[in-house]
Amino acid sequence: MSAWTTRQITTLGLFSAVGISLFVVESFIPMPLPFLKIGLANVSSLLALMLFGMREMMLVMSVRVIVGSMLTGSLFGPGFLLAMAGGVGSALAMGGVKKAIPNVFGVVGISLIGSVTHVTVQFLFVLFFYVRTPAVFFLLPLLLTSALVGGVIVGWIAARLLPILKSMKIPR
Amino acid sequence: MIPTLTIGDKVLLALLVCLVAGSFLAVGSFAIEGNTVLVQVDGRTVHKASLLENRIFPVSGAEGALTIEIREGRVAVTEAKCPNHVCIRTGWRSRGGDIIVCVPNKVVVRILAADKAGVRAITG
Amino acid sequence: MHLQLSTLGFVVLLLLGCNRSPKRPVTRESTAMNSFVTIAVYDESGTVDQLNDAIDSALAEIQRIEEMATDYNDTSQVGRINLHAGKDSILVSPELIALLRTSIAFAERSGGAFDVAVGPIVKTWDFLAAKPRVPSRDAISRLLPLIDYRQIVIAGEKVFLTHKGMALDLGGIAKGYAVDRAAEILRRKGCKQFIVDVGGNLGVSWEGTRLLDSAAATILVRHPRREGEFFGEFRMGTGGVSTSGDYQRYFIQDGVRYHHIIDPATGLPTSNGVVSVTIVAADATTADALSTLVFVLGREEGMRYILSTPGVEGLIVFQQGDSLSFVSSAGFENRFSRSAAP
Repeated sequence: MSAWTTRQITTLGLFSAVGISLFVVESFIPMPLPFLKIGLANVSSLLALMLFGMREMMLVMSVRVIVGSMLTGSLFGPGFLLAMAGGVGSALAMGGVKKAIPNVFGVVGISLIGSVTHVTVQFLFVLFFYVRTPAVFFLLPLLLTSALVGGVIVGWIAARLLPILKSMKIPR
Repeated sequence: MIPTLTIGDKVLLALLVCLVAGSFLAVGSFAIEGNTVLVQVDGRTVHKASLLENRIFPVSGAEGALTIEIREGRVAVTEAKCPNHVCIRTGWRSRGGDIIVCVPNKVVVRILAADKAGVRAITG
Repeated sequence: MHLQLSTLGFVVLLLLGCNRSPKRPVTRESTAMNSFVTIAVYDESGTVDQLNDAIDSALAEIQRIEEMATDYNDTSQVGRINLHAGKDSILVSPELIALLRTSIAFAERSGGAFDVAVGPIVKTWDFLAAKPRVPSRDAISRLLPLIDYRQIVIAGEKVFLTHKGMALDLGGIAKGYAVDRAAEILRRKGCKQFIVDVGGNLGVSWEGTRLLDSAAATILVRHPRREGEFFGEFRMGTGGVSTSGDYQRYFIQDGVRYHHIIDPATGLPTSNGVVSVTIVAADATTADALSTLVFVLGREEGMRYILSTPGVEGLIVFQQGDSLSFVSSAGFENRFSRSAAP
């Protein structure tokens, strides 16, 4: 694994910053239930995947989760753990699918794979490591719905931004 | 150049929509008119109360205490020792199948039907 | 693209069709007569608005009964009767006359165990005060002669309390009566399956045909000693329920519990070991009066009274040594199941 160039670090830093900002902005959007999210911050990590690769996406995602947790004061709590688990899982799924079967899915499709994996991983985490009761299955339909809606929205936004960023010719 | 929406995407979307709809139906068949509140900590049932009666009671979670309040046929977590207070922000629940979760404390508050069918009122 | 759209449409319809948000029962809450009031209507027919309308009327009716029967102010009908005790007879509504006659009938049948002339004693005990105290023996003995339903004179539409200082207190029957009146309103508005609850006095109507529902309503009986827990439960169709308990209103002085059910003969709270009485009757007025009455009569005489009254079933919970025991009429036994200890 080659070392990052200064240019790369700066670029990825910007992407991370965008991700964090989106995370903060989203926290101001009211939702009927607190655990339902659109996941706007994933726009930046998705773009990182599309423009660069899985490594870059993983980095941007991790930085966003860590700093995001610091900002909400839940750095060493379960919130952080869940976000990381969901983030890593979804990144692996997105990157993996993109690499394994290229050209099958578009931006929205990749985003959906990411959002559904994210929610599923978090759900399983909560089920097996925290609450340990099947009662939480009642939340699954709502969680999946928000993943579906969020995935489409995030994918659509990323798709719109992609050509603009591509034309800026940001180097790898 | 990666396209926005491929045929693969549409198929995926359709499949997911069916999956989600299916999950609603599956869960919906378990959601019944509820009037009992069940509190579980770490998978163990620690408290059972009737939605018909106003009560305020404490529950010990993995990280601290929570306060649960039942009022006018609805239940909510009113105080909790947890970082994000997701449980408190979930608000008041009253439908069979509704649940309130506090992940750090491993607490689940569920609404179910009473053991015997149709408890309607309390005298006394 | 069309395929996807139609799938989506189909799914949306599916979800809408499977909307199981239970709009029944339509439940409303309020307070009246110093109690929590709940009216729940289970009827499937009729819109939510129509049912809410009916409940509005029922709640208004309960308010009306409260205004008629309360003795807490001098302007209600009962208040005016009390104010003019020993002085004037007061013209009152036929409804109140009827209620008074019913109350006196209960008094006669129970040998005075139920007595609506118990006002002076109840006021002296003042259970709703911030710091209730046991009244002196003197105060009680001075008031005892005034506790006499036979000194209530009803002539035509006028009521006269014979002696100054006498006072009516309909607390033992008014809530049940309010429940019956509210239930009547609901019935007139077409409701068939509902429960009116005024402070634990229930008016149950269970004549609807909800397919998924049980043929009877299950009612929980509060545990007289363990708060938040239940002694048992029973099933019933249409009728009235009332429970009197020594845990409902009481205070403790010098380690002794003084509860709010006064024996009209002694002016003191009963101390016959009975802690709770639950009565199921054809209507809530009867159930309310009887729950107080049977409580005062005690375990044996109370059960005799229940057994000798047609259309009435009951449960008497009493202290036996360190634990609680109970007796119930055969009809009640059939429908009752005791809760297992947690």
